[in-house]
Amino acid sequence: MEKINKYIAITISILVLSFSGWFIINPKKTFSENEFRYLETFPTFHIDSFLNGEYIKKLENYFNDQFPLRDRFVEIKTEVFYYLGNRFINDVYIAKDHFLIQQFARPENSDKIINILNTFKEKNKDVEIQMILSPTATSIYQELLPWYHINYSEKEVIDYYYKNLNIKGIDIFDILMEEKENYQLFYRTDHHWTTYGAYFAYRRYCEENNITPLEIEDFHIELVSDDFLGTLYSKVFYGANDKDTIYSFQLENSNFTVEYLDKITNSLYNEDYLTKKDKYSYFLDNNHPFIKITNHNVNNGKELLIIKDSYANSFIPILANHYEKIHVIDPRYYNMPITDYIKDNDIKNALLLYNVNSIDTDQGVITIR
Amino acid sequence: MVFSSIPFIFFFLPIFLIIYYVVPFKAKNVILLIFSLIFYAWGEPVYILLMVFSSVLDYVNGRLLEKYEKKRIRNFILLESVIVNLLLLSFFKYSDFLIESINSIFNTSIPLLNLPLPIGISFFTFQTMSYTIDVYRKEVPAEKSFIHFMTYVSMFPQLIAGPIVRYETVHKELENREINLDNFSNGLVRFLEGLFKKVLIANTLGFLWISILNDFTSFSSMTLFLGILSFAFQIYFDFSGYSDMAIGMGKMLGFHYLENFNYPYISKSITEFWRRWHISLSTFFKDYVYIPLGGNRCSTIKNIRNILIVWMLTGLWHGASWNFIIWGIYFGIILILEKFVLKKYLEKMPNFLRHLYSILLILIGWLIFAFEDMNVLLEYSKRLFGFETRFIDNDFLFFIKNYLVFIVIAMIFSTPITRIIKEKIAKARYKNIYNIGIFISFLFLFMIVISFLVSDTYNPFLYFRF
Repeated sequence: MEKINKYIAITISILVLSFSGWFIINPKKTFSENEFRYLETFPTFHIDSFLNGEYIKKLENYFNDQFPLRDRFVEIKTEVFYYLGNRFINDVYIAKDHFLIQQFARPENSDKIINILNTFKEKNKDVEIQMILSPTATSIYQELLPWYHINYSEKEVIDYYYKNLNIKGIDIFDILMEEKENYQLFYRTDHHWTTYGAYFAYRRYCEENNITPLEIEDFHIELVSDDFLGTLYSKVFYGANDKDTIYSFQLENSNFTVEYLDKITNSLYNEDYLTKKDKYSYFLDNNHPFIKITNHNVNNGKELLIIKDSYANSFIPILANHYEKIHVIDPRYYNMPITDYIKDNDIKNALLLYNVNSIDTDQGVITIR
Repeated sequence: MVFSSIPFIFFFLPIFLIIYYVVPFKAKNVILLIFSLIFYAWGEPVYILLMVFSSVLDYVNGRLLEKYEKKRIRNFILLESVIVNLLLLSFFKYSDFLIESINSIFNTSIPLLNLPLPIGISFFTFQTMSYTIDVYRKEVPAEKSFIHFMTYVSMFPQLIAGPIVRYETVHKELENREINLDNFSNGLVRFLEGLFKKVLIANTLGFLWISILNDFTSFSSMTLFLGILSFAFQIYFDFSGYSDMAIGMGKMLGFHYLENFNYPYISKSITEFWRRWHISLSTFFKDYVYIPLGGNRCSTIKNIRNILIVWMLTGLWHGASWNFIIWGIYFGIILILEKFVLKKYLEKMPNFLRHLYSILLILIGWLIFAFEDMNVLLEYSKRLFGFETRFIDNDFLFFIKNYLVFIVIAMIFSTPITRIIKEKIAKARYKNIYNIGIFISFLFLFMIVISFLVSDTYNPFLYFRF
């Protein structure tokens, strides 16, 4: 027994020292693409932050964040859990067909949010306000979830919202259930819907608003990326071989002016993001507090205000084909009263677009006024 | 700094060990002292003064006790040491608890002090106090070198989470100890075993426990049972893992600490459980409270009183909250019952039932231990015992499916099975194959530990509050 301990001790010692040395010479990174956050760099010493323990905390994070092969080690952890039968990591299920699906926990703020939205409607009586509360892969791809899972019913929550809102709710649940056989409606590695998912939500919206929707064949459908690893992948670090594909639905010779607060472009997409990690930001250039989209090919005088989370980013480029002007407000970043904006711009129609999973904790929806 | 962290394993420990091994023997204690102070200051830059104060005080006490033979002076020094140490401990650990209790009884609103608990204060005050008592009793000679004494008190392997190492255990090794490759490698292997227990089992099942606890009102009885079971495993593997790491590092430095755990969950009675669980604490209370009070060499009534006092204190030591006191008294009562009533019945029962009896009582104990808020405890217990909720549901299957392997591993390593296998195989013919297997397992597990540490910000240390 003693002898084997010597072998173990010597080998582990060499291993430890090699990693320590490697750590020291390893070039330090400032940003982790996978985790989408800044890594801790070597903290500067201040006597105050030392005495209150902050310095040490930062130093410890620094060691963890900058450890050699950090990403690989994080992957190993997921693999260990996976092979020991665990299919639920960081609130994400590792489901069949290499799908990563987030958990839907019991919402806690539904009544509060319904109240805020009803008050908002009260203040804007003359505006026709509608809402799309989208389900997510958690309920649409329920059959892919692992053997046992605990989720609250998304459909129940959506129904609860629609029943108690004095805003008209557009139910897209059934159309997504029908079409999931034919198209991939949600990304495997990301929490958003695919452009196909957004398209069918658009179809239901058109039906409710007497708009003749464009057929899939009408679009020029382009595969813009086939190596997308989204937010859910970053959470679990699993399934790096099963990348997602991103499509864009565009009409030939479309002609838009897209005004952001800080720039004006003529595209509803930003291709720069396709070479980065967060490729979903390709749609509408990620989240902006405010966007105004003018379609020069349409002369029907129709205007729409969309108040939204990021699900809308891939939805708006499709819908924009029917409106002369679309105003987009993301309340997470837009701090002024939306009611004022509606009055000032004489808005007649508004659409709230959120997904049921994150609306409960959305920092923007609770500021709508 | 905790042992199970990247900076400790890859920087603090190797740098320290290299210097420690290189310097001549005379300088080794100084190096150990310096690194222990750095280690302590890493987490508690201010409170380090408390530890130095406690050390100076009892060092002086020891020297004085050596000098004076007069009973009255000796008694005074003893009393002074006990009072100062207990005041120090009480002030930082119990003052808010006391204020809260007074406030709720007398309806007053004295403001709380909100002092953070100095790391390891429960351990180092007990160590310095026990030293003075031992010198008073002339069981050990007084330490002449302040460096040695301070090294003993602050020694980082056992500083923050025990075991409570008595001066008696190490005083010879402070002067002279064997530092060699055998001790180093046996110690390192022991350290690794503790590290695996803490990181792979305790943290994982601790996570399961928290997941269940956070939303327990929506789960079925069986899930709540799984929750308390995983808490029981978490606390055992956490604490015994730390003790293993401490004992292992002690050995790497040439010290031999006493064992602190001896497979407590295989006990056949609660009396036996407390002989196997946190041994250094039980012996401390036995030697410094129970026996001085008269132990069992007095009337039955007094004996019962003594047991209750010891167990109330044991409870209180674990934390400044009523549930810990109730937890202590709970075990005190069971121990009294076992001693005076149950013993003869228990001995006749089949082993299977005796294990079941012990495990159930231990789990109920952890239930009391886990909840500082009595209302939450009642709410959890009500559901655990099948009121107001379903007995079993999907949630149980969900948690079992995800954590079954970890629970089975925890069960296996709660028993001495692997040790018995190891001893059997040491004599067998294919012991080389077994050794290769062990060797590879250690490398594998170590890499997995790194992956857990690097990725897991969830690395809470349960014993900081004691």
